[in-house]
Amino acid sequence: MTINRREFIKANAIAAAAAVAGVSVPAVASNLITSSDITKLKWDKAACRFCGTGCSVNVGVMDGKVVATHGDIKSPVNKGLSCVKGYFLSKIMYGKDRLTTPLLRMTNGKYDKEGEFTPISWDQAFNVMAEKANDALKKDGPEALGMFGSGQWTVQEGYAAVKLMKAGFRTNNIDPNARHCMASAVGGFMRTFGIDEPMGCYDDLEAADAFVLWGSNMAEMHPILWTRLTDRRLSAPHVKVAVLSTFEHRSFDLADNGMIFTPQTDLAILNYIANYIIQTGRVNKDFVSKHTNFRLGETDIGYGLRPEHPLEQKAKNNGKTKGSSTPIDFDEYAKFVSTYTVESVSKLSGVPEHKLKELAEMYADPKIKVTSFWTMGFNQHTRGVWANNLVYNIHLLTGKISTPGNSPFSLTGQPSACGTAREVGTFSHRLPADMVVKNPKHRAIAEKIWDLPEGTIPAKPGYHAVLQNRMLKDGKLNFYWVQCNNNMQAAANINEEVYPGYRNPKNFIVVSDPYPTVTAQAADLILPTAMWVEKEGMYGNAERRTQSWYQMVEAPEGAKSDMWQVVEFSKRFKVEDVWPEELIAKKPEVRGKTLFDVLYKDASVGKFPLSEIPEDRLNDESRDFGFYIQKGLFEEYASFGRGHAHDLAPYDRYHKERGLRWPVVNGKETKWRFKEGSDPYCKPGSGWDFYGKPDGRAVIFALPYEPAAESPDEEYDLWLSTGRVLEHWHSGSMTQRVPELYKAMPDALVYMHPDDAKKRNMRRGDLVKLISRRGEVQTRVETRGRNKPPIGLVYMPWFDASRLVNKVTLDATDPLSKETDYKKCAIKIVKV
Amino acid sequence: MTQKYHRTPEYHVASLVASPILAQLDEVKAVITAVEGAEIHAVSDEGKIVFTVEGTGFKDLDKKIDIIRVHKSILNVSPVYHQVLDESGDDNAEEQYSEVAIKKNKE
Amino acid sequence: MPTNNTKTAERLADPSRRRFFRGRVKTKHELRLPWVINEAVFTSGCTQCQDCISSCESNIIVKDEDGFPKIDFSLGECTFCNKCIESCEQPLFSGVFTEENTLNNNEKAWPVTLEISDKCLAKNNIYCQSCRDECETNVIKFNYLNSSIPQPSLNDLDCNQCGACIKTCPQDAIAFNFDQTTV
Repeated sequence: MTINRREFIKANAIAAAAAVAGVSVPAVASNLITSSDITKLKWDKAACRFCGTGCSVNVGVMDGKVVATHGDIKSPVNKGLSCVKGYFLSKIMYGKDRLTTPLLRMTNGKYDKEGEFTPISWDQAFNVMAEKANDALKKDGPEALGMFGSGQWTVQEGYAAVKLMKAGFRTNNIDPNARHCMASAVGGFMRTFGIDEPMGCYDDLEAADAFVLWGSNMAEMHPILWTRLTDRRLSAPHVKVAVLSTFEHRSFDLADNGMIFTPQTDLAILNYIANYIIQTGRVNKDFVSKHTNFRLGETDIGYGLRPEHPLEQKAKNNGKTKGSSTPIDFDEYAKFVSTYTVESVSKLSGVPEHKLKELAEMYADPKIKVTSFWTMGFNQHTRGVWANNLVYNIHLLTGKISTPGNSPFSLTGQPSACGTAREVGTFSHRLPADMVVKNPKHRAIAEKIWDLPEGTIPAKPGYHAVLQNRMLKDGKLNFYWVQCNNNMQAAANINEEVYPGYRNPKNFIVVSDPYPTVTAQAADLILPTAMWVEKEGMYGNAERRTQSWYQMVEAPEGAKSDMWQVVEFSKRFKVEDVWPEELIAKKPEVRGKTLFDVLYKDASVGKFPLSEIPEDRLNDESRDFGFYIQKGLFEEYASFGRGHAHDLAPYDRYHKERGLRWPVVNGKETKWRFKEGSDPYCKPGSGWDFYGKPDGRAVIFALPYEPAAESPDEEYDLWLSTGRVLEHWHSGSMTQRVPELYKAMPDALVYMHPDDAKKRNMRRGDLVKLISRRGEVQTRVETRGRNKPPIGLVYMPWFDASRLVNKVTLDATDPLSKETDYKKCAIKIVKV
Repeated sequence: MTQKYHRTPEYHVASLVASPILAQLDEVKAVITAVEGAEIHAVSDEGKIVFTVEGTGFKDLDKKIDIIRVHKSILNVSPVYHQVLDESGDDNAEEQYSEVAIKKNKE
Repeated sequence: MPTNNTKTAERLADPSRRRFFRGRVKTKHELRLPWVINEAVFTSGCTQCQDCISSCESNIIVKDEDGFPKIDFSLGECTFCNKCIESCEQPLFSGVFTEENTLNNNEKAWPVTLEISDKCLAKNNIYCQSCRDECETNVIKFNYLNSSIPQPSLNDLDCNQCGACIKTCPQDAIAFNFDQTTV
């Protein structure tokens, strides 16, 4: 009591004095001990561990422990603010069940798939891993090896892993969980612009006259960007906010035009807006004629299910041609969208005509600067790439792009979905800097930078996230390493398509995690992992901002970072173990060396000495390997993009900055890409230059509305949408271990309309079962609260490990991006 | 009614803004943090230092602030806020108090 | 002082009770059962039989340090099922309670007001609205009026004192505080 009252009046005192001095003092975490201890605190900067916003936080360390965090005033992203998760960030590393020793399933001292988890040493762990990896290699070749990584890997971790898998083991079976999150956005960027990631930046938030949220609940999922949006809305009365979703959520608090649409009909709404722009004569003809091409895309492309699924049997074009398109002209495009009239789209979507018109007019009016935001509503969509293409259509037709406030902006869910998964290219088809394994020139570039013989990198794209689970189940993928994610909770259709693969007797599953997640518990070997500021690293956020931090505390004894695990494991393999003779013959000097030598130590990764690490800094991995490995990994990786519109600054500079937005050319970051004057890569005199495409023109795609993979019917009579909540981040493996956050949002409830509950004779708080064709999950009914679904749709978040909603969801994916649609499947609900 | 047996414990906190000679900013910061119960919370771009001093009474607080005020590198110290917390109503204090009262009663 | 049975005598040894009988107001207020007449009636009439504790469907009635039942909203919310009142054999409550009807002149269950202290994250510019959903009667509202971090406001008239918001606050910033005028 005494302490709390004291703290509170002291906070008042500080606030008053700060106001006088004209500085803002962030609220310091209240877990902040007594005043005499504060002087012992050492503060340093780091990127927040959670969402893709990329807030910078100040981290307070005392006696080797992180004891406080607060928003970093110097950060241009969050300007000193933080959300409730960021406020309790200091506690994520100190859950009681933190893992500190490798655990192997054993019976009578020997590995046994059905055995009990038994503590073993790191040496034993790597021994059994190497044995199992070698077995799989000998039996079925590199394709039997796979890795599932993360948009939460640091840049260096992702790069080390890509290099080990693609160059060392020569398999492309590496994919990040960003596949579940960003793959459709990537597909959209590549298809429309030929280069990944947003052209705009967060500065658009202070410049736009109107904001449109497409399937994005920023108020909960990107709260700090939401505060910037609300600041703009409140300080400039003319600013309007339109929010579209399949259910009402907290972002509707601020909506001038809130729209609830029937799932999947966003495609029709997007085409209607394009049609409205054309019909009302507001096409920016000059821009369109100079900077765009029109193409008609392939249709009826299936739902990315297993080939034997009836929906795939029925689809006409789910084969190789599904991503293809043919050139058309403006008139053909205008004709194509002309069927999307306000009457027909209103009927299809359930959105009143006047609301659709208001929305379309906002985009059409040349005087209104519009920023569109979207996240999982677009991306987790069986036509996710299309949805991305269609929103770009609108911005391209009106020329509202790449200038302050005019911005089609794809937000990200993970702290380094952009920085690691996308830019480093930890996908099964990618290489760093937007290159792909299919392209022989790209492979040659990578092999040259890596100083490896021609033909090292396999040309065939590997198994993507969903396919990895299917291949595990089918026994084709036998050695599988999961790092930095919780896919047993995150992947769709757990019962049928995830768990069987992990427990398939043919397979050996390794999971690296700080905590015993449901994924770890389904593994054969668990490796205890260091997290966040227990290691040095970098993240890249949604506005292309790359941020770095130093290691600030030691990891608990026994826990090792993902990067250390990958690099240390590479010491267990001689080149002869994994490469065929004909490849070694092209570069005989690698004979007898380990993968560690070839990929890291003797490569350019190993060229920065320990002396470059500031003496007072921790850096357990570098001091273990004998060189400044984080810098080496980064600099080698950065050499892929420098000079190719992905320029990153020198490593040391990032330690001094609150991040920089690439391309960083001549020491200057780039705010708006593709616009002459703000992007140094634009050709002089071009005005706009979409240089990702050979002719500098972005593509406007004619693509139709196609129905969802599964819609409610008589038996399964409700739509199910899943997603996140403000208090928890993703699967909750970190935030559920913070007592305060657990208290604020302990269990995942199913949000439903009161009438839907009444009809089923249910009351708020009743225990119910959600049942789909694939599985069932128990939870309790919530009829009030933050999410207000319309009749016929329910929403359940997926953070709760004790209530796995993904036992129910469908593993239908966008056939182009391979990203799962977590927002739509059919279920029924019964009382327990 | 029983008399209070011990002095009411008080908690004082004051916040102040110091304007130092900019070149000696670091020195001034060291001087402030050296004072027991003093703590720096922010430094503005112009070098103004926002700090608090905590203590047990007016005298205690004044003594501490004077140490800082008279330092040669400081141009000015402006007090902004001062609050006294009477902690006799607190749980702990109450507990001691009632124990004393019970003793008295038994007597 | 009623000291003629041993149970009462034992209880009298408790400091809070001693303080109370000596007319001291400075005692820690506890939330007793809903619609209790007042603290004096309650602590003198309650036999500490614990029937109310076992009857509570939300399991939020616990013993205080002196053995009297109190409501602990950090454990959950009150549904006003009145089972504690029905189970009690002592005349401790104001109003008439029948199975179907509760007649208590629309009086609030406790002489308290819901307050959000300055520990509240939103008041410290940390984005949080966790309590908002819990409130069935929309007493807790979050306004964007002056700040991009929405601030909580309370409309006490509509508060039915269910206490659902209390347990959800990550900062323990929400509490029922006793009205100044009541003893």
